[in-house]
Amino acid sequence: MLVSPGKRHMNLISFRFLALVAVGLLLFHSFRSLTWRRLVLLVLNVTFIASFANSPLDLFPLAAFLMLGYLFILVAHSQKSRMNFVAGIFLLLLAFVYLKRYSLFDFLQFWENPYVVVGLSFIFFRVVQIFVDTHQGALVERISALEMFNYCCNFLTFVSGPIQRFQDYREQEKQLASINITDRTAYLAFSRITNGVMKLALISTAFEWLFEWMKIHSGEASYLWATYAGAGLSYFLQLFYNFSGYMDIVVGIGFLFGFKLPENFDSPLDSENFLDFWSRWHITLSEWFKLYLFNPIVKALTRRWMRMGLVPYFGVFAYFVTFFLMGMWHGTTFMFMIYGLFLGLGMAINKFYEIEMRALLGKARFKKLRGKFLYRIFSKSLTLTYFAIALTALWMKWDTFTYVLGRLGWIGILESLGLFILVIGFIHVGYMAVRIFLARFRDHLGELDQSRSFQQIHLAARVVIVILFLISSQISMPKLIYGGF
Amino acid sequence: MTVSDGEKRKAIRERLNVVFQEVFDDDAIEIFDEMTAEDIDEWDSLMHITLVVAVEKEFDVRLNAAEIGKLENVGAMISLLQNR
Repeated sequence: MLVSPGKRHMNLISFRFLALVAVGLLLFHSFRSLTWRRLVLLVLNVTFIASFANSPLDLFPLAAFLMLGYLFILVAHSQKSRMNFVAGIFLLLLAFVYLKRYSLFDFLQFWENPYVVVGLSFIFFRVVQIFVDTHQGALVERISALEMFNYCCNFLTFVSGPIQRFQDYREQEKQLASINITDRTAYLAFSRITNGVMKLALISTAFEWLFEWMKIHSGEASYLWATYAGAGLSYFLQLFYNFSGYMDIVVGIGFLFGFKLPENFDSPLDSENFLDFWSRWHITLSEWFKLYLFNPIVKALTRRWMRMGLVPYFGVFAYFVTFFLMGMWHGTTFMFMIYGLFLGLGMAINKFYEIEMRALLGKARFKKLRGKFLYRIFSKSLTLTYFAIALTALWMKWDTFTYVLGRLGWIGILESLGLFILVIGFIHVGYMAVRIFLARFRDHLGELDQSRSFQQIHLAARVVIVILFLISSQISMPKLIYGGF
Repeated sequence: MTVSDGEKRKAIRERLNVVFQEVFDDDAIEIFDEMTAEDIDEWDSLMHITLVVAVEKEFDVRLNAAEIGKLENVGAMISLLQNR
């Protein structure tokens, strides 16, 4: 058991969490002193994390991991030693893999006591970022223990990110004393928060229900290809609205505390291809992997063999390695290797396709082809279909996976694929039509949309709906899917 | 900005322009401060690193991960090189 049993930890849309935020905000805005505000954040962070543990001992591994990272960062700060760098990366990675109990390392004797592992993945990214940047000289000012703790264990980003860069966090944190909530900030914050709660509690939960229903019926269904496509699509949409709802909530609350957290999504359902998809989906994660894995791989290869003809193929290789590892990071079992393979292959094939098409058609003709309506719709649908299929690795066990593939056969797989592509294609066209319609409708609304009283009524209505949702969903609160990764 | 700063910036820009033309295999490229990846079709994550390696070679500098990550446009690249 990785998380302490029997503990009702703070869910982001629970009254307990909202009470913590409300009390925190009152205290935070009581005094305009930097030290006071830092201390309020410290108390909030500790209280939030403590809600995951039954006893302080449950938090010991997490604290030990943080201290290990801090020690290496302190050494890197005082001397630029290659040995310290290599040892630091190796030991942090080892500690991470050990604490997450990767099934590859089942032969090891794991620590028997239950302990809190929530947040560890995101703490790992933050610690490594500070460590690498300190070693490379990009972080000159020394980091204090309080700063390190408040950054790594920020209650807003603790469970599932976003992975904010330390430099950006520090810049905002230093300005905390001057933060004041204006009407505009409050409107923006509550709009984001209510959006998030609705996405999480309503849309994501509806897709979860649909997904569970399809999953249960897929075993006995005579149209397995249709139920598989339906379940895959529902899971994908459930995941998207769940994670993007979570993001809306933390970004919104961040506004109230003076933090501008980085966004994780940029209309991913609109992605033109798989390469484009990863610059729009879980952006802070792919940015981290780009900076600290993809770039060094490409850099090492191009430094060694700087031939422009080879560079695109270095990309194919580096995309595969980066996204294979990024996929594996999501979980500790064999199925996550399959997920990683899907991601890595998807990126590599997409890059390879681009290279070959450019060579075959020439830059200009390939660009023209990519602009064609039907090509774009097909490419968008294929992208989302591929990702939805890759996600199967997150909800199917290996036995079920091979059983379903066996029962589907080649014809069934192609039928599922076709259905996926068709459905997503239709959704795209419909979505485009709705957007065009809404744009016209907005023009008609004109100034009303901008007026303060309209905004206040609009917001009040949403807050009431959200409170009703919260009351009705107290019995079964939707879980944060990314919190489990 | 002093005159010598301006001259230095101009010289860097000229050398950088050649690097851009070679990396993107396009002699028509004329760089400007506000130029970003949006302005050149092939300028993706991969070409960005290739460009960085070529810049490092041309100007005999080493850019770290954080510096590469925050290069928002050509102007920022010139400023970074000017300060090294």
